[in-house]
Amino acid sequence: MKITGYLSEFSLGEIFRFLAQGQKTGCLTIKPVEAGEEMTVLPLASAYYTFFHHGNIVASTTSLDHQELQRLIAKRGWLRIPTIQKLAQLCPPRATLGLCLKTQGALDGEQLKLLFKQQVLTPIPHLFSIKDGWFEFDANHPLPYEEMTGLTASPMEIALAGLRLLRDWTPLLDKLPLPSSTVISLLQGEVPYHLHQSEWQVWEHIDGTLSIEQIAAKLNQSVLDIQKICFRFMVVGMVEEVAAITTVDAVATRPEHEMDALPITEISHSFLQGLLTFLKGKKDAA
Amino acid sequence: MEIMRIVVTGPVGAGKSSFIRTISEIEVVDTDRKATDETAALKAKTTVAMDFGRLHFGKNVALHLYGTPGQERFDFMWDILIRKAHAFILLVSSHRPQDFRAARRILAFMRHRAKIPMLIGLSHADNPAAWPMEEILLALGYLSPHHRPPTVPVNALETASVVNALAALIEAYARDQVAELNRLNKDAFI
Repeated sequence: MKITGYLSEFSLGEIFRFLAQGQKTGCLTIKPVEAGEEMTVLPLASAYYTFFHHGNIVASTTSLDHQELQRLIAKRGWLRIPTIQKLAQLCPPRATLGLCLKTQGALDGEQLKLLFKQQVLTPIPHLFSIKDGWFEFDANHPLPYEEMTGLTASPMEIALAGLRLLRDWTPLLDKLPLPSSTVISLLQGEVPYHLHQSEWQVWEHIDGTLSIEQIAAKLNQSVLDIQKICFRFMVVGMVEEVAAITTVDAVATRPEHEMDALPITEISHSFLQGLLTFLKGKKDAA
Repeated sequence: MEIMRIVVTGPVGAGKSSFIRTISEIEVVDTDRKATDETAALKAKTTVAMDFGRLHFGKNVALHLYGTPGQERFDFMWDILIRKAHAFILLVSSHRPQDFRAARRILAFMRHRAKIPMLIGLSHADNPAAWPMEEILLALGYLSPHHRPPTVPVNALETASVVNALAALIEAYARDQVAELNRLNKDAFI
């Protein structure tokens, strides 16, 4: 399975939600259309590869040479590349390089955490700053065990972090929930994420009745700020947007009986049978 | 006169007007210009356009099809259409992931206003850039394969394809009726 598109159409946050909720395994490739100046933390690369396993992020690279993790370890001065390669030969097939080196006592758990932070947790949130890019998710791409530490991260947490870091929201403005919309909680239990104070304030006002602009008024904040927070909640699957009816003068003046002009009645069994028979005939004739 | 009302909705360009035109026995009415039949009641004091098509299939029995306005703005016309509809079809272009957000917004709007049977029709499914059905349903928020509405590919320009979609929706409506009847019987028994 391969899906493709542009971030201007289907934002990175939405892609992450899609991959997490679908528990997807494979490689997400992002090629910036313009590797702009906003990519300050990441070295400029022509492509970014993020690997998913059952909906979790397991590795992230800017090349497909399967040697980036080795270079990271060597750069920190923990092991030389020839040593890593020698130890890697002792690993069973489909074992992640990180856990393999840990099992052999070459690296410890804290070192793996630092590597994972450098490889995944720090750079990926900055991908959310890419203004536009082409993406492809390939579910048939094999997992790069040589690039994996054995640790995983939730795409939802990463998306939340990425959207919090975002300074220029211009590419996402048309994707934000409308000011007149209500947002409805989709959570059954407790909030599964660590929310910032401003997010908690908004969350406490999400009761299924208040619109975004009403929440903004209650909290004395800008509507745009509340829209951004609600968008973050939507991306991580905490809420859904329910659009409001646009109020026009005609609604206020429209007499109630006009709404009732069309009776709503149950459709009879004979009607349904007759309609199905008619449709079958129409199909045969087509 | 027994009339079944079906709403055809979806993002702009999903094929709503074509769908209704392909199956309607009358020239599709754009209510912004001309209102007839039941649409006259709907048209009152509004400037919002919608498509209306009709299918008579016997004496005093007809299927009416209403296409929602194309723009993503939910006005009172939507509200009336949904609350008076027996079922609805959501058309989504398979090759336009940018439309999935709008489709999801429409679904949430519908779901919170009426509990009526529905069907998802995927147009342009043969386009090389089309997303697979499973992935589109996921993008629309249907996470569990066990709790999804019936979904069919639709070519809004082909009669057989439109008929297929309508038949699938009618069958879903009939199943829903039976399930509701069973529920009522069970409640009565308890």
